[in-house]
Amino acid sequence: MRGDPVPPQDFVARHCRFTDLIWHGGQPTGVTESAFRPRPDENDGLSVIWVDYFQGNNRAHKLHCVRSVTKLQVRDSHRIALLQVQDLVQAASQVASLTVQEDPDENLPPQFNAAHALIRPVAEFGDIGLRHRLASRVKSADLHPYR
Amino acid sequence: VTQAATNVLLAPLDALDRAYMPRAVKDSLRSTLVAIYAAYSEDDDPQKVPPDAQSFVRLLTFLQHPHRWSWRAPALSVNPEGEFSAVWHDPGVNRWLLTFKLGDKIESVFLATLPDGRIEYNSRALDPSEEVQPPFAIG
Repeated sequence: MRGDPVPPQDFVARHCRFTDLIWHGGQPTGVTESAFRPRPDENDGLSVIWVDYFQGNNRAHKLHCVRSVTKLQVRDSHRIALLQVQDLVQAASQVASLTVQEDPDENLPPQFNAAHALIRPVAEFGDIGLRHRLASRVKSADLHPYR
Repeated sequence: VTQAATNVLLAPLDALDRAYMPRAVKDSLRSTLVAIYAAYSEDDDPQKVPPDAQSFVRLLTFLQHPHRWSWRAPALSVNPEGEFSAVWHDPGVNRWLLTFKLGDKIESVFLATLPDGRIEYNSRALDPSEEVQPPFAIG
């Protein structure tokens, strides 16, 4: 239900463009603080997809579900960055109190997205130190291509 | 890579070819640079800013100092303003970023994740001429 907290053990996915990524040897190996800069339409929270909204224990299957509900114009160089909610909250805890809340998009399909969630409060992401802290928690294994 | 991206890639690649530094570092930077420009090329954001060649040249100038030849090749990133960063990281433990800002400044950011999960964060401006010691082993 909208506003309910996403469980701490669950994962969320953040869309990353090439300027959000750290590159090494031709491959993305991490993300930078810009992955957590609020985008122009993110007035109410940072937009993520709640990965564990989807059923099953198979990570690959859930990533396919994430790809299926992504509404953005995606390119080969873009990546899905996975973050565990409790890790995200802990990484921020020295400087901010973040929550991840369900925020289903209930517009008519194809905009409908029951797995949409928001990281709040968005004002905290004006702090570059907070963004660096969150970025440092994303490892190479947490980055996934869109195909 | 589109013609437009090739044009903005030429100056950094030329500077890299002329740089005096260990071959392994040079080769790593070249493959990373090409990947970044390929990604820039396919990105269709009308607001996108091209990677800044001068920022990259200053990054090279910094790295090719003989005192830094023993450092391992950094990863690279380009922020939405087009500024290059050199990044060294032990994933999940230490991360050091040097961002070559537009103008003449270098910004150093160091993050260390402590065993209890707390994250130390330090950010400061560097003088390009100062002797820089990495905050953790990168050589």
